Amino acid sequence: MGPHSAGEIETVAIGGLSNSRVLEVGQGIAGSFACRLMAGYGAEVWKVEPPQGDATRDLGPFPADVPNREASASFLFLNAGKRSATIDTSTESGRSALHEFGKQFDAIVVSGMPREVEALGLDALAGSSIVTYVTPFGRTGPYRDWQATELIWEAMGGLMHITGDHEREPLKNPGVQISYIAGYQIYGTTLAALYARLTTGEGQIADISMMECAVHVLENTFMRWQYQAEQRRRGGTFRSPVYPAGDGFVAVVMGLGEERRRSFADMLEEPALLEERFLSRATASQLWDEIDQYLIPWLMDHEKEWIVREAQRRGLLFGAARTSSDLLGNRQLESRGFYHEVDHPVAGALKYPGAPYDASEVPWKPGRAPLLGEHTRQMEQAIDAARSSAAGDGEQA
Amino acid sequence: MTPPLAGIRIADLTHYYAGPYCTRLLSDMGAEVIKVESLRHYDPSRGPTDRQFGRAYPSPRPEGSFINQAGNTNKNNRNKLGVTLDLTRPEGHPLFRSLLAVSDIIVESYSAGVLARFGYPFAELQKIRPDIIYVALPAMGSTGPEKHYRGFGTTIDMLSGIASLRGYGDGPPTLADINYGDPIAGATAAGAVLLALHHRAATGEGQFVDLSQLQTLVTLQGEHLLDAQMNGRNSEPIGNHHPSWAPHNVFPCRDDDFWVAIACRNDSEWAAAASVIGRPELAADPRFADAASRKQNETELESIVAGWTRTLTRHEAAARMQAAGVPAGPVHRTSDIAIDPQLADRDFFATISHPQSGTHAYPGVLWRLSGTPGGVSRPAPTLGQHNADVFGDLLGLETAEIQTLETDGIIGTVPTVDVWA
Repeated sequence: MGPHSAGEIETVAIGGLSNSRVLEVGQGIAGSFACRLMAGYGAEVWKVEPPQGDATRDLGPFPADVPNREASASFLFLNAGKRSATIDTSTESGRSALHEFGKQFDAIVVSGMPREVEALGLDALAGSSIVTYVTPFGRTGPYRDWQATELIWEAMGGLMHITGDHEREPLKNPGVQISYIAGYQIYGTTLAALYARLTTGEGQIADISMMECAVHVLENTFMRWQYQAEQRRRGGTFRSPVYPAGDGFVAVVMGLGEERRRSFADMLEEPALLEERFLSRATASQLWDEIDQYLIPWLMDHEKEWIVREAQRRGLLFGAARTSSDLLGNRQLESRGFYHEVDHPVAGALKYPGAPYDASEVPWKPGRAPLLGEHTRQMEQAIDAARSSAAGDGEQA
Repeated sequence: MTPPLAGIRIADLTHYYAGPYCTRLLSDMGAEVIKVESLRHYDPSRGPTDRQFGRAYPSPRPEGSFINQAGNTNKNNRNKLGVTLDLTRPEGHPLFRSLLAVSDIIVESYSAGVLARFGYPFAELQKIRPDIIYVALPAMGSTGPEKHYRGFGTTIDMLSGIASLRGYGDGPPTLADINYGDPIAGATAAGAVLLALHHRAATGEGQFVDLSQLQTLVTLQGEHLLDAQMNGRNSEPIGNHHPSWAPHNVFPCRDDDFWVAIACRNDSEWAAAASVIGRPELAADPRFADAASRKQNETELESIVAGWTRTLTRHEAAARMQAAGVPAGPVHRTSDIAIDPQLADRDFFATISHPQSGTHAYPGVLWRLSGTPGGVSRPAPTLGQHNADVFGDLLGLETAEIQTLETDGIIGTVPTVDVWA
């Protein structure tokens, strides 16, 4: 795909979310990601930034590790496809402008601490728009005013206690997983409310708690406590299925049946592994130390993607630990058109990940991240036009 | 206050966790979700027919079948109706087609191509219902050289690149106790259904949504993928640290294996934290006065903070930090989640009575809406529990017809094959 600029006029589409205008307000990766998804599937998305710019402009990573507000990888990825307008919401005139502008949107996603976001007065727009609040713990409750980051949500969400080594401290997931998961949830919530509005004609308020999004990730772990009072803890007696291979790491996942074990022996070209004790489910799981004698050198002799190809075609569910470079060159993702090359006036042309799912009637819109305040003037014109029109109506009345 | 998806019907052929989580989110929003299983191949997450194995069962165990007592299955399938029908036999197909004709959406999570092999590629689904929305959740997507790769949590965690980023920073890739791919793919898929519903509302068209679980996870690494291009490097695990913020870690508290998480995002939060730990002078100390210095002297910094946390419980440490405006929180065990005051105050848990599993608290509705709230109204179905309701009341079969289908083993409530045998 060729370079793409947010300033170009888009051809009119009527499907996907192209009937929806979404306004993103406040600071939060979850809300930003949700709005990026909405832009990707057709919505017109505006991002209101404070005059000094969104916090992710300072987060990086940066080219050559030199801070640059227009070349922060976090910002570039999370805000592709959006317009940027700056408003100083600490002033009354700023809040008034936000209010006036907000009326022109179908949905407003606002992220931050409850006291701060409520001071923006956006509840007043919920008669006709969807106002989705994204706060650390929700708008209500004893922790309402608690500050939080990814680390805190993972800790309080019960995820860290069960991750990491048995003998070591609890371990966090990489990066901002909870924010991304919450982003998918915010996208669903806002679309559900917009869908209801098709029938009711009315807006409403959505209340998303980041902590609740984290707790939703607990799967079997939560039910082990609820059903049988069993407390899971990190590590424990399970063997890690992760092994070194020639050029990285693989996960060796065997499966239960004899047929799979025969396939495994065949793949390793190791007749010794066809002995009955290695094939029988009852005995084989105790024999890993012996199996490792054959497995470990064989894995070291081969490359991880080759190992996975060979295993998978035999029905063995091996995985390879892919790096970012591996992913960028991955043939599966390439063949599905997952990546889009997008040019940016400061960051240059880069390959961006695209659609998490391919909707046959809604093509993904790549887009680029906006420069800070790139569309402030357009916003001001829209606000002025709305105010004049309202004043005009007033005069006529 | 009608929930958003009232009147929407979903034929749910999903198994395990990702798909059922998707349809659970939608059933919480009021959609009528009909979980379609088979006596020859019920949802494997239900476990074996003859014993407890590898999942949570209620303890003490009430009367009932093991397959109707699996904890995570019951969590993910509440609010749904359950039917059985057998697509390996010709008699099962008219039933399936009748169900599809009255369903807005079909969701499945089989391996790529399986539903087509049963005779239902998208083109066939469209013949049955022209505006049908079909959402598939194959591991790698329905197309491509790796489309036949199968995987559960571990496999996808590795192939998506997430495992390479997780770890203490001094060892091999680390897996989690949770299969992250499942809730992520499920939440994404729920959004995909809503996108398709919006599209249909605007155009009258259905469509096929091909959700690659791999793609949903690779999407979460956007900044890493850009960094790799900008700087020719792959991100390494950094444990509980942050690329630029410090202190940022979990710290040991007074009792063994109890921890508090503390994160200072800027100089003023560090200054506040320094006061809380009784060392206000450290705010201006050249070792710690700005972010770069704090990162450089991180080990020493953490040792100082840990000296303070070790004298307190995790709740005391968190509360004092929060009182000063510093992000902090106790590392919760699962048992803590169950009694957490914030979750309790917000009625996060829904109490559900299940006919064969007893009464328990389950996570409730996450998508909180003021005007058209969702809700939890019924337990997860036992296998084939609603055959009579769905085939009789909804699809209009006579009682005698239903009885014949049961006698012939096309539908029923007792499996004929143990999926885990």
